[in-house]
Amino acid sequence: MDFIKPTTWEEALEARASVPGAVPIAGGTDVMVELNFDQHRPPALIDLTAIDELAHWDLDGDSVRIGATVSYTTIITELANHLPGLALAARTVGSPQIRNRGTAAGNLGAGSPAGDSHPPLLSTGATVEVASVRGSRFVPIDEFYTGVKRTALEPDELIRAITVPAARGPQQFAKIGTRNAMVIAVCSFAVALDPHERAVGTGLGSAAPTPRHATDAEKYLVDALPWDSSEPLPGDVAERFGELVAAAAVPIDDVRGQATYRTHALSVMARRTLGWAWEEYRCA
Amino acid sequence: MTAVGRNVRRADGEGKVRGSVRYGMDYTELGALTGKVLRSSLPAARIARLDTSTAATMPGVRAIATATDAPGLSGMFFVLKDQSLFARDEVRYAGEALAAVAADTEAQAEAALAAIEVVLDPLDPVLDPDHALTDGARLIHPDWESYETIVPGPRSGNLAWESRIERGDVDAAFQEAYRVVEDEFRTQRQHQNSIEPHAAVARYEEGRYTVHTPTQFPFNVRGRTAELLGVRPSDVRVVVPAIGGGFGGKLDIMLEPFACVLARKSGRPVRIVNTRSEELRTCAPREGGIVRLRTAVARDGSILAQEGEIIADNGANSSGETVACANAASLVLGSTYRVPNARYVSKVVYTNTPPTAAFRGVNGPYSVFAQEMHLDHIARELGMDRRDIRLHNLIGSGDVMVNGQEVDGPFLREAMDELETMRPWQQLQASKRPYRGHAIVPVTWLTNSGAGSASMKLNEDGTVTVASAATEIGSGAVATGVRQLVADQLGVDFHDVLVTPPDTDTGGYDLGAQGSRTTFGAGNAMIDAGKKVREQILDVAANLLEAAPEDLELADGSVHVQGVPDRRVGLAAISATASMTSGPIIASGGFVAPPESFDGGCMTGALLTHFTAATYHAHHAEVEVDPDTGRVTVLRYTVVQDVGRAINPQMIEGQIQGGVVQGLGYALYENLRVHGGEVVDDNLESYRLPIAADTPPIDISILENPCPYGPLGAKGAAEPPIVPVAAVIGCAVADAIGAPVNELPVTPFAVLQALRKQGESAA
Ligand SMILES: Cc1cc2nc3c(=O)[nH]c(=O)nc-3n(C[C@H](O)[C@H](O)[C@H](O)COP(=O)(O)OP(=O)(O)OC[C@H]3O[C@@H](n4cnc5c(N)ncnc54)[C@H](O)[C@@H]3O)c2cc1C
Repeated sequence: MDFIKPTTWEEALEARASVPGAVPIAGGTDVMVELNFDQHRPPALIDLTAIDELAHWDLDGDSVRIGATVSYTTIITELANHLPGLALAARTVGSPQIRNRGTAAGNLGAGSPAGDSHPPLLSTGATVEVASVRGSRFVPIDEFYTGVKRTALEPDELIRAITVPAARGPQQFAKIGTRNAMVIAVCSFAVALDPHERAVGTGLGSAAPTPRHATDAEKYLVDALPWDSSEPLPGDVAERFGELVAAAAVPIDDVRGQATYRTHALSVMARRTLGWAWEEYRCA
Repeated sequence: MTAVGRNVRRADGEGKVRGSVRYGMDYTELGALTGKVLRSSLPAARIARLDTSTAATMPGVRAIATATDAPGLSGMFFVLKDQSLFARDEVRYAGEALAAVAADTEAQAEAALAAIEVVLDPLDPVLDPDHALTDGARLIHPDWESYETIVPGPRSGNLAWESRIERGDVDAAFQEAYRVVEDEFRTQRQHQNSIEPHAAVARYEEGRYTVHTPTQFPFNVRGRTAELLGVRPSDVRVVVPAIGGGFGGKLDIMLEPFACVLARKSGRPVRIVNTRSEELRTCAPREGGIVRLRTAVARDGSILAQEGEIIADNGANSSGETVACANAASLVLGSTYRVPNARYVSKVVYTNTPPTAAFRGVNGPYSVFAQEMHLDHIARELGMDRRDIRLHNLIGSGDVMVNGQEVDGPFLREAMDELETMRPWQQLQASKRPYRGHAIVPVTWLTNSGAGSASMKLNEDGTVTVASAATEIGSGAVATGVRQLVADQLGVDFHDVLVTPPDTDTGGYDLGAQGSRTTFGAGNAMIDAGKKVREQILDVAANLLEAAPEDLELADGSVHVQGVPDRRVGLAAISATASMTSGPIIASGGFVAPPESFDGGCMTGALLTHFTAATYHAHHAEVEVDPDTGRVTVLRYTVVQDVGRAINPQMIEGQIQGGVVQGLGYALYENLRVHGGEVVDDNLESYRLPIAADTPPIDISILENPCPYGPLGAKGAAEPPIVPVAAVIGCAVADAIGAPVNELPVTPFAVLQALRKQGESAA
């Protein structure tokens, strides 16, 4: 197995194009597990960590552009104000060691429906910047997930950055696991409120073959929220929102949990996260 | 300064923290081959064909072993000999060994395994213990009657073993009862999951096997390996490197006999190390249990009689301690509360699943879980307070346990009283909030009585070396605890007491690190040897100091005349003098716990008959339940534990914390699921061990009720803290949600189901 360590983005794209089947590696927290268990033997690894520009984030107008090797720890410590939803999710990933190495781009690359980055990225309408020697394109997050562990990435493409609109209102995230930390989500949920646009975003994890929105729940909430008042969240609104979120799920039974439990838990998380977000909004 | 009673720093701690310790899995020998075991993919099958001829010709392959290379039958503790090293004509569990290969590299060994031709004709697997006991269930061991047993045991067909206790007039008591309460409880398999997997390196020289293995019980590995291979125990030498955890999982042979056979056949050292997946799929966990209890109570809450049936899943053979410990379940059920009339039947049942074995506390955790949930049920029926019913029936001075053994003091009551000062019950009851719950559980436990021995010598420099086969399982008992005992006995510095690594060629017999016995049993044996060494030292010193031995004192590495500290002679000088006069100073000692009197007539099939150096415990937990998600959060945990005498209080606290956390794992998370005979949870992502974030603050109070025959009064301390944990958590969760949970683990899903059921019955 070759180990390719490009120091520029162009070299990385070149390597990706010229070595079919080469596996990009960022934090390696998914890649190394697969290699250690001998699940596959790629012809080469392309280590992205020596490419300086990928290791940074910048505020670009109203959006934050997160380089492909920015770690969860950096997201937590530096981006909690701009991207509270993503930072909350990042806090629940693995352990400190995993958060120091792991990246949101790696989470996208792996494409697991249980990845913790997906719900907040979905709820905020992020864009994935991908590129190859053929050129660059911007993939809306909704179009990025194409199947179980399958994504819109072409074989010669790399993720360069993720662009996420800076928060304009409260964002929340909740995750249910089989213990209190170091755990892959049984299911997870994110909600983002944008009071200026009167917009609502949601994201469901481990609830279907791919991470997904609860579109009906979003639509319902846009009309049902008493945006102009500072009253507490009406109970029936929370209830209905929970039901619509649960209805958007098509979960499965697996070793971590049962489908019925997942559906139930999603409605609970939806109600709760909305409650927290609304409290933040009305008290602001 | 004396060492006993002080928090002497763990002598093996620094090396373990720095990573310089060489564990069993780090050990290898020059030129060692890699061994791998081919295992059955089916839980039950006839072996139609097993052909190794192609595999034998593959590159790098040095030896292949199959059933013909291991002619013996054996069983844990030699109790019931139904285990062969390789499946012979029939496969009895998924994971049973079919063949083993030694090759130059791991890849070559794996390629050879893949090239062994295996044809299995599937049989109908018998998976459910209740079903296994029904008439007409397929016999898992058709030849069961031919197996050798250590004592005649009640058994038949798929009932591998049965032990019974019957005392008093049970039927009459049920006639008189004010209420009769009945329950059934089901519990899961729990895996020991030591960080270090099983590992063995064997070589064969001049007709003897030498195997390095991180085992808790070297003499058992020696005897069991010899029996399976059909050689004498003394033909096998077991040496134990540092052990990376065991929790009962390393009491028995796992890889050692395979490594030995392959070493003999290849003429080279052979090293085998399990992967985590092999650990979870093939290394024997705590058995799943079913406990059925039926109790007759009086109006005032007195237990009049109890009937109990314990079904323990032996798995496919008796290579683990499940048979040997069958009676422990009954003893535990009847030794915390007065059960004047009792009938307990403990059935160990064959199933086509991986064999089960000892895990810290053996069947105690699920027996106590059942008993305590059941008591809460009784309390509900009678409208009685949960603590009151426990105190009312609590065993105390003058009472007898279910085996007729007399209780040695009011210590269980004292533990409950101490707990009351830490967590006042009424106050907690009064301040209860919705979906918060708490519970209190007393328990009596035992110290393993087994034999130990040691030899001790005074070195030329005045230091002391103890040779023993006692193993340092990670509790600190050998690395630190027993050295504290010897240091004080001979008046030397703790660091000047050295203990040899366990080696069956040089160390005397020792029953291994189990049942909290190391400080107690091995420590006593060392003290016995130390007495004789001390006498020899004093004899030599008496001559040198021209004083009578009884006027001499040992302190600070020298002997002085009492009251005249200047008239002294150092131990180095004594050692030198001795080697030129009376001979080098060396002695050996041994220990086995003295017999207790009990009513032997009330038991049949009991291999564990009584409580040695009984210990007394009370645990309390406060939990919070999320009624929407079912999640249980343990807010606070409290332990009161009688240890006899605390040789090293801090190390005991470490054992208590570890035991509680392991118990929380059992109560809430861990579940080694077996579906269709196959282990589902073969990795640590789906097998959920508790971690720091799951651990509540644990408050500890240590009580000291000295044991007359313990070393300086000490009793076993390390095993018991796991025993009542699942019971406390189960009872506390039931208190929080107002509904019982009769299965372990108490998962969020189970909690929601219990809540739903309760909602339905309320509606
Ligand atoms: C102990 C442990 C605990 C974990 N806990 C969690 C958890 O709680 N929640 C969670 O979501 N995940 C968890 N994971 C999984 C993993 O940490 C995450 O998926 C993480 O986000 C992966 O990021 P990485 O940078 O390490 O990715 P890598 O392992 O480097 O890569 C992951 C995948 O993405 C591809 N890739 C990486 N970078 C790029 C790029 N720039 N362009 C194209 N493809 C790319 C790789 O080829 C690979 O297929 C855990 C893993 C471990 C080992």
